[in-house]
Amino acid sequence: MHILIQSIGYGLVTASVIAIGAVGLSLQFGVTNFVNFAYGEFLTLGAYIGYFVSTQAHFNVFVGIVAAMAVTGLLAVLLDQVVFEPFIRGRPNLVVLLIVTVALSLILQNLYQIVFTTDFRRYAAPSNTQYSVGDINFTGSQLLIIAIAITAIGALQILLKYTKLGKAMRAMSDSADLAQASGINTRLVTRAVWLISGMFAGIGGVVLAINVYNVQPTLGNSYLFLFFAAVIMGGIGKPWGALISAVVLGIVIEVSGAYINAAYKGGLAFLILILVLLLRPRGLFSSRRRTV
Amino acid sequence: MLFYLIEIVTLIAINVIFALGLNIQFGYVGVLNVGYIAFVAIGAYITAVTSLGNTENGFTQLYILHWNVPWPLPVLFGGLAAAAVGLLLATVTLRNLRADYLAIATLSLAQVLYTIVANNDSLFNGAQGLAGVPRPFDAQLADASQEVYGLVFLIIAVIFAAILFLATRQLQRSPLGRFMRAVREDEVVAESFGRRPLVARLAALGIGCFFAGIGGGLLIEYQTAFGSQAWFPLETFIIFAAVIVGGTGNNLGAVVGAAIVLVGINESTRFLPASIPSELVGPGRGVLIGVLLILFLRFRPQGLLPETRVRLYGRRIETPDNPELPTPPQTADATTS
Amino acid sequence: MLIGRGITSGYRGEPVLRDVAITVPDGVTVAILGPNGAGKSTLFKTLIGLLPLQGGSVHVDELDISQMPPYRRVRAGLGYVPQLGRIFPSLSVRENLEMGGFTLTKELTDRIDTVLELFPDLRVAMKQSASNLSGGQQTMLGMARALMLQPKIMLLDEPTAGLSPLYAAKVWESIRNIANAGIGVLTIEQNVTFALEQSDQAYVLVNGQNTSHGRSSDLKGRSDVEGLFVG
Repeated sequence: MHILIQSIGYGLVTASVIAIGAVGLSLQFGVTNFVNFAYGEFLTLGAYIGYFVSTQAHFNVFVGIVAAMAVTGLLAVLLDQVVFEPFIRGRPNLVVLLIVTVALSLILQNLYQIVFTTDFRRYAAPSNTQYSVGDINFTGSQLLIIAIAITAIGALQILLKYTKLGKAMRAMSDSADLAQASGINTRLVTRAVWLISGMFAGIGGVVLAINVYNVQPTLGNSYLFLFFAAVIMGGIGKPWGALISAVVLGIVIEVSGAYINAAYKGGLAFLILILVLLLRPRGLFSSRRRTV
Repeated sequence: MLFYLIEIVTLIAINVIFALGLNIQFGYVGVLNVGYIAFVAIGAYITAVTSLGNTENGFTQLYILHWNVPWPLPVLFGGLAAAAVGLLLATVTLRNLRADYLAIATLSLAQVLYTIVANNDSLFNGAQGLAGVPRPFDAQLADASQEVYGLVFLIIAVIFAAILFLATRQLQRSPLGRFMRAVREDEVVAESFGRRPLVARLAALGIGCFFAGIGGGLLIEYQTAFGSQAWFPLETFIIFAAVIVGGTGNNLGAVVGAAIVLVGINESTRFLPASIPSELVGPGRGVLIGVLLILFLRFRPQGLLPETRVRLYGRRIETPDNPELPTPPQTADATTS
Repeated sequence: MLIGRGITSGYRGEPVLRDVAITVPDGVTVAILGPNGAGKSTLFKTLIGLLPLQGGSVHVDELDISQMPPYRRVRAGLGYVPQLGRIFPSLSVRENLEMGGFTLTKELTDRIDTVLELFPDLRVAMKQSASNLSGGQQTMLGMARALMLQPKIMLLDEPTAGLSPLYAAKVWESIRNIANAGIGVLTIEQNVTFALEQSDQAYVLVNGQNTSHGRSSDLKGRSDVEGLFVG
């Protein structure tokens, strides 16, 4: 019984990591209408930045997070401007855009191997103090991960609900064409979406590194399909849905991980993804026809 | 030199099979199978376990089936198994129109298979992979030199590639092939064919994965071993690059693309200055292939050998070699609004 | 006034419209008639800039908007309500109107009030999700949204499609109110007789080209116009 309760606790930590990645991915997916297969690499870069700033240069963990957000946010905007925009300006083709993101993932991942080498870098935990919440034991780092996830997703929710920019993002998620024809500068909104999505990758990368204590070139990529699973379960472009799905996924993975070989955790998540596609293939995304 | 030549042509022939299969999925019907290499691996694995029998070759490995069926049945089994998994996955993910769902599912499948295989010793012999897979005509050619056997295998691979190439051409000219391209071009126009677009997508997925499995079977027979490290997604991108560089939708393009990309990768890394550390060669290839893909998609999306396009739009429908193509509705509005 | 000259446009290089000319004067309702696939919606998408011009030009008064992206055309004085997806379903009714007035700042609330005088039905539903509205109300919301920036010209793609005759008449009442405020209104109508009764002027579009143009009352009853449409 104690193992079960404790693994639910770990599930919440894993859920927080998945939620940050899934929310950042889902926001951009919803607005631009194509999924970014290089998002895992965005997180990896964030993790490296966090490692260099916090572990190597001994700055506070939050300094590392802010630095990671700045770098990955800029990377996302840059890639949007230089790589994606020319494809979208021409004759947008969903399949071509998807391949471009996959190719970017390949390029970035291999660049990390060249620049950072394939060595495992040990990320120093910000806090190893043990805390008990009810029957569950957390380290300070784990509580920090949960707090960061709540703060980041809460802030995004406020942006989406109460600001003009956030409302425009939701409007574009509904229909980019109608948003343009309402007088919204959709290029500008798209750029802002990439920036925020990139910043979430920065946070997610550092949080991931804190959670697994290390950084290496495939770190983000190995979590990508968990983000996908949460995004599809939650409904594309619905950050709340992604958050709830992340909690479900995180708990299922950690609870099952307490009883089965840890290697099959990923298989279980895949099974959940397939079940969702089987049972709720249409209920998971809005009814409109795609425009790209 | 001769042996190198035999080896590279053999690998080209096998990659032509991969490229033809991917071209049916991505080029003909426009479905994106990001985990294509997983189906290659499935074909290789099934080929191995249906030909290894109980021979242990002096070391212990664990796997299923332990069949020892005569060649070329193992290769066919490999193709069929890959096609079956592909169809299963496609049935789940292709029921809605989103191309990205299949891409996500195939990528996830490849990643999950990778970790499961590397960690499950009882089914897949773990990260070591399978070794000692029997080569075709091994007994008859036991005394042959490396070059002679290589030549025999080269002929086998070329025959397979040629048969599949001709089959692909037949498919392209068949009503099903035309329907596939109509589905890629426009869902609404495709519906005027009186069949569900899903049928075209499923068929393309199944046939393409069959090709992947056949190629995977030949690859493991050629190398006689197949470790989990060969499943890395980079391999998928070599195949994608072959199709896109050659000319998406064009079968001859797939052949040319496979040759150019493979030879290009081999040659470009052969003549690297010795000062470049060897561990950078692999990542360098990855970056190169990614950049090549993006540049081609951006500046020459039709590839080196553009597909002869059948117009499916507007009033002038030119169907030079497809006189019986059904006339789509004469509406442009209906296709978009 | 909206002036389109020699408009040629279409999808993926295949022109659907060829050399179409159209003028919408201020304060006048103009209906576009034509069989399915004549290119009516294509014309609207080209005017608002969702499809690029392959030839010709579009002006609002003296201003050449031919090369502008849609959002700048809107700011130059065009309002557009598409046939499908006229509203943002996941936004509230008020947020839909805010999106229409995206460039407004402090005048926003006043402008919403002014626009709602034309559509009193919407006032009670401001906080509701727009997807809860009936089809007719969604049309009204789409029109209200497009009015937020005080356009000179409104483009309404089949505003009465799928509505009951009663609600269709109500929509046209709003359209006439809009025109009376000095705004030129270009609409697409399926029902030819109804459209000729309601509008001031009409254009007939067949196979992507203009065939007839005139005052609706003159076109009414002409067999070459009404005979074009089956059903």
